[in-house]
Formats: sequence, structure tokens, C-alpha cells
Amino acid sequence: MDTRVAILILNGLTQAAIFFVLGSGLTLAFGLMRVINLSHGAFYLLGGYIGYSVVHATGNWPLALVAGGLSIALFGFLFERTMLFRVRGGDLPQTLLTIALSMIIADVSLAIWGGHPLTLNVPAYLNPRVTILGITYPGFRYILMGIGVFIALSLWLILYKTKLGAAVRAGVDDRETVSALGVNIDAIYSLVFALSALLVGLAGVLGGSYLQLSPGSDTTILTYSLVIIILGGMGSLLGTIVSSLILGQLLSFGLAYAPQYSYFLIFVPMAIVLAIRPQGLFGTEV
Amino acid sequence: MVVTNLHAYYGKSHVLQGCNLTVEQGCVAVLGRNGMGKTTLLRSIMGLTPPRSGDIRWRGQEITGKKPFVISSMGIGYVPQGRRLFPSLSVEEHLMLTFRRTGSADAWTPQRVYDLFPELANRRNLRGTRLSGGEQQMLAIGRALVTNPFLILLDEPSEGLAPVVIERMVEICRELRKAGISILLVEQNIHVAAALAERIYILVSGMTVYESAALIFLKDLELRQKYLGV
Repeated sequence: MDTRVAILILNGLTQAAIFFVLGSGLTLAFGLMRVINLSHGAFYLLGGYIGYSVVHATGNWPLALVAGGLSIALFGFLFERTMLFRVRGGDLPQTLLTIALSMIIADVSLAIWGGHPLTLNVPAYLNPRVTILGITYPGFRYILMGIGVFIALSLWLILYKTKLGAAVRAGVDDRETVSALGVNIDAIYSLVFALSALLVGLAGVLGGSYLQLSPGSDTTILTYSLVIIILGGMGSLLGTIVSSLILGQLLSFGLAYAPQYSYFLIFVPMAIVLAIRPQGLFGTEV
Repeated sequence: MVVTNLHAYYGKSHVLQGCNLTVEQGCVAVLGRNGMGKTTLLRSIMGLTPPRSGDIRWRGQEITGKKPFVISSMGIGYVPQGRRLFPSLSVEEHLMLTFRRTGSADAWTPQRVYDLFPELANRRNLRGTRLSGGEQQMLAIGRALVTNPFLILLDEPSEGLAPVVIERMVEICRELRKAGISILLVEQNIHVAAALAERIYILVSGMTVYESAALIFLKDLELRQKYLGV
């Protein structure tokens, strides 16, 4: 295989890992709570910026990853407990509330971290040159892929092998009945929303290390997240994996061969899927 | 359980317009034609359609307006109309999810449900919605049993089942009665109600208009004709 093509595929896989971490939380939260968190992109940006500050101060990238993820998880949890739960079931209030929050986060981030694009510094020990089958590729990107796979496996285990996961899946199927059978669905909502925030916070640190963070990237990221979960099917973990892989490759090859169209290209599979199978590749009808 | 003057709405439509009923130890059936508010009555008790006014007391405690999971944890089991199993969950997961340990030796565990319904034991890894109609109803009852309730609300358990399966359902309900679980049954099928209930209430347009011992009502063909058309 041509080295250039191999590198593009690897780039696509790296991007897919980040897409998956980005989309999985949103899709779980939507599947269960029927709430589209439009501040998902802003959460990503904030998580990435917090990670940046931690790396800048300590030089410790793993610590930055944990800090970015946990701070957004806590932030999301508090947001859900104090505000979002008040408008549960109301599509318009939820939309307005989460858009408002995203604007506030974006502006506050601009005030704190300024308008220049920032990239998290990855220490050299995490970024060895790795040569596999004659193709040399930055080791850190393999680490990103590994983290993506690890998170996918963890989510699968939680969702399919624990009682909490069974409650989440039952809640996705039928919120009403599951609560009438003694499951405190409100507590599960809060947990899943916090998990969703954790994942997007992690995605912010991963994405900010692979590419860059800048004002305005919150809306781009939100668009990506929506495309990922619409293509995969809202609420489906497997769908998110598949759509991340598709979109990752599309973005990577698009950037290489038709850079001016690369952003537009990611909408093509979504448009096709929406026309033929509106519930998404692996989604169930809502 | 004592329900007093219960009013509930679906959106703007006034579905329950004054329901009164009492369930003691035993089986009470609520009968009525379609659309008279029978299902809404059970949903109101469960907190799924919170009543606008009125009063539900359960073992001496007010439960009106409490959340469904709280009401469930106070010992009321719910078997909804149409079973409403979870398509994503296996038989085993249905029972594990709602299982609540009580610590007592004769508590309902998933294993005890399998003993009662051996056909479920052989299909524990199958998705609940892949079962036959009768098995689905058994799972819906088993799922409510493992919450270890004192009272079970059964919404049209005979709906869509073949006569021999309905027979089995009636047997199962008798077993539950023997195990000391009270039943509040909502039914269209008067034969099921006749086989199980000790008391009968009739619901017309959201109001309880008639109450008597089951035998008295069942023998009175004129009343049956008037309220149920059978």
C-alpha cells in the first residue's frame, strides 16, 4: 500500500477515536433523556482549555486528561441538577437553556484563554516514533486510538454487563415503565448526563492535543457531534462507533484530496442516511 | 389501599372524575367498558398520571403525588397494559433490574420466579419481547413480583391471550393470592374477573358508579347488561 494512503487511513482512525469519544456521550444522553445538549461543543472546548492549562502548568499530560474529563463531568452534573432538570420534557426550553450555556462558556473561555489557537503539548515520552510495516507514524496518535478503544470497551461493559447499564437501556426503551418498577430514573438521568459530560471533556483534551482549540471551534465540534449521532442512530453505541469510523476516514481523505470541501463532505453520508433510513444506521425509531 | 374522590386529567381531558375504591387483603376487580378510565386509575395510583385532586392512602400513608419509583418501593407492583417489556433487555435482565432484596427467606427472587414460570427459565437469555404472548405476560408479572410487593396492579392481563393461556393466568393469580399478595385487577374479560375477584367496582366515565361483592354483580344479568353489555 502507498505510504500516503496508509497515513491517511491512520489519520482517519485517530480522528475516528476522537469522534467516538465526542459522540458516545451525546448519543447516550439523547437516547435516555431525549435531550439534545447543544452545549456539547462548548463542553468540549472548555474541557480542552482546562486540559491545556493543566499541561501548561504541570507538563503532565495524563493529569490534564483526567482534569479535563472530571471537571466537565462535575460541571455537567451540577448543570443538570440545578437547571436542566427543571425543564425536563420541554424541547424548546431545553434547547434555549443549552444554547445559552454554550454561549456563556464560549465567551468566558475567550476571556480566559484568549483568541489564539492553542494546542496541548504532548510530552516526548508519550510520542515516540513508531514504525509498523515500514510506516512511521507518531506514537501519540496510536495512544489516542487506544484510548478510544478503551473507552468503547468500558462503555460496552457498563451498558451491557451491569445493573446500571440495564437500567439505562430499559430507560431508553420505556422511561415510564422502568420508573413504575422502582428504578429512580431521575438519578440515572443525572449519572448519564455526568457521564456524557465526562466523555466530552476527555474528547476536548484528546482533540486539543491532536488538532487545536480556538474560539468558534465549539460550534464546529457541536456540528460534528450531531452528524455522528444522527448518522449512527441516536442512542446507539455501535452506531456511534461505525459512524465515527466512516466520518473519520471521510474527513482525513477529504482534507488531503479536496480540502475546500472537507467540511461539506461529512454531511453527505448523513444526508443519504436521512433520506433512506431516518433513524440512522443502528438507531431505533423514535 | 383507600382511594377517595380521585380526579385526573390527560392534557385537558378530564379522565377520572371521582373514583372511590378500597382494596383490602384479597382481589378487587375494576370493570368497565373501553375508555372509561380504568387504565388511568392504575396509572394515577402508580404516580404515572399524577392525580389533580383526591387522595390515595396506602397502608396508612398518603402516596398521592409521590414519584412512581417511590410508590413502587413502598410495595406496589405494576403490570402495565400491553405488558410493556423492555425490547433491549433479556428475560434475565428484566428480573435482575427490578429485583429488590428484602432479606426475608420467602422473598421473591428471580429464581423463585423461574420456579413459578419454568418456561421463562429456559429462555432466560432471550430478549423479553421475543417470547410468546403468554410468556410475555408471565415475565411482566415476574418483573413486578421481584420488587416484592404487597399489592399488584394488573392492567388487562388477559388481553390478546388464547383461552388456555388465560386459564393459566388465572391459576397464577390464585398462586399470588396464596402467597399473600393482594391484587387490584382491571379487566374487560368478565370471566377472568369472576374467577378471581371478591369485590367488584364498575367505572363509568371516570366515576365509580357501582360496588358490590363479586358474586352479587355476576348473578345480576340486568346490571351486567347495563354497565358492560355482556
